[in-house]
This record gives sequence, structure tokens and C-alpha cells, in this order.
Amino acid sequence: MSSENIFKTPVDLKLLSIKPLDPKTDRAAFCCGTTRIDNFCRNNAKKQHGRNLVRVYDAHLDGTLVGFYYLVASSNPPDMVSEEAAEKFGRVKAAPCVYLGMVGTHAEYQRNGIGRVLMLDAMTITLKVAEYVGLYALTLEAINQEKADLYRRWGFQYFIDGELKMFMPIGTIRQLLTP
Amino acid sequence: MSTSQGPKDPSPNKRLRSKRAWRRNMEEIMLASTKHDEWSQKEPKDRDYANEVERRFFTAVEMPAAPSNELKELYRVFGKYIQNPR
Repeated sequence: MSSENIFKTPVDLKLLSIKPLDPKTDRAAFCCGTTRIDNFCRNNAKKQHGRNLVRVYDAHLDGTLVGFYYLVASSNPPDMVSEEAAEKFGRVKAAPCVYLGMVGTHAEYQRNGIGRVLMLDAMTITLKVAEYVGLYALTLEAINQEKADLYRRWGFQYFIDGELKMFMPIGTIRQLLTP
Repeated sequence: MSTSQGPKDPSPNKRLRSKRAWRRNMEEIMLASTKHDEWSQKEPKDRDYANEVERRFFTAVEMPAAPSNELKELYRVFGKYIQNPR
């Protein structure tokens, strides 16, 4: 066992429950080790979810919040391509995408695959949306190069080389999740 | 012996009316189309792109790559824990 795993709690993923944010959930104790993600989870997630600005999905184990992610509709890229490109996005003047805002796993429960399950769950929700509404891709911005490299191996592509904004075409997700 | 006759050849006037209707229809379609429609009708590889980012994005979206082996492995191991449908 590596030293990184010594203080982690082993998790039976079968007991994991992923649900849309419940306002009654205690979020104050959530800590994944990344300040930006922790702050969002503790201070903004409930408010933004309640105001329909994002959709937050929480992962629970025995009533404890062990992870979360959020999704929001986004318009990509126009700021990443030329002005002429706007004409090419059709009447909506943008490429409709779903943006995976954050994925966080409580530090105590990391390295059990919770983040990976949340990522697949986010893809599943995105594909469901794509069945009803035209959608180009699932997008995200990796928190660092290490994560970007991982996402790249999973098939996410960079919008611009050297940056951390990435996308995965809906077609790829559909091939993965459709039997 | 029975003989079957095919559809009667339409009169020249009828043909003309039909041709006019077709043209009117085409004009309406062309007026309704936009730059995007013309552009998107072309195959992704045959289009003009303003830059590499645009080319990469549209080509990837319209000609999506198959899931990578690592993604398939991820799904094989963790896919059973996805909580859908809710």
C-alpha cells in the first residue's frame, strides 16, 4: 500500500448514492484539499443550485457528503475562435455544450474511484440532455496539467494546445454509454 | 390480352405549372437558408475554417473519435456504479 493511501477510508462503491443537491445536506465539513472547490461546495453550491444557475450532484456514503460535481449549459467556443465562426454556429450563434464545472471528492475518501464514478455520471447526464436538445460536447477546464493529461487519455481534447480547457464530443460519449 | 396504360403524359401547360411550383419552392428554400446552412452542408473536411481551433472542434464533434481504451476501461470498472436513471 502506498503512503498516500494510509489515511484514506476504504469505500464500497456499491453503497455510493449520487443525487441532485439536497438543501438539507451539511456541506460545511466537505474538504477535498483544493481551496477553490471547497469554497464552492461550502459557500456557493446550495445557493447556485437553488437559483437554477447550476445543477449540483452530490455523492453520499452513509449520509456523509463524499463528493460532488456540477453541470451548467454553456456556449462554446466563440471566444476561442474567430468572429467569422459565429456565423457557422447557426442561429444560436454559439456551439451549445454542457460544462462540467467541478468534480471534488472529500480528502478522506479519495483514491477509491469516487471521482471517476462522478465523471461517468456527469457524462450520462450530459448524454441524456443531448437526447432532447442539440448539444456538441461536454466541456471542462482541468484544474492542473496532471488532471488534463488524465482527461486527455480518456479522450478529452484541448480547445487550444497549452491551455486547460477541454472538450469531449457527444458522439464519443454516446458510443461509450450506448450498448 | 389486356393492355395496361401507364400514367398519361401531363400536358405541356401542366408541366410548366409544375416546373414553376418547383422553382418557387426552391427559391423559398434558398431564401430561408443561412450562411450556416450552406457551410454545414459540406463535409467537415471540405469546409473552410478560420483557424486550427475551429477546424479541430467541428471535425471532432461531427466525426467523433471512438472512446479511447482508457475511457472504455474506466467505464468497464466504474460504469456499474453510475446512478442512472434517477
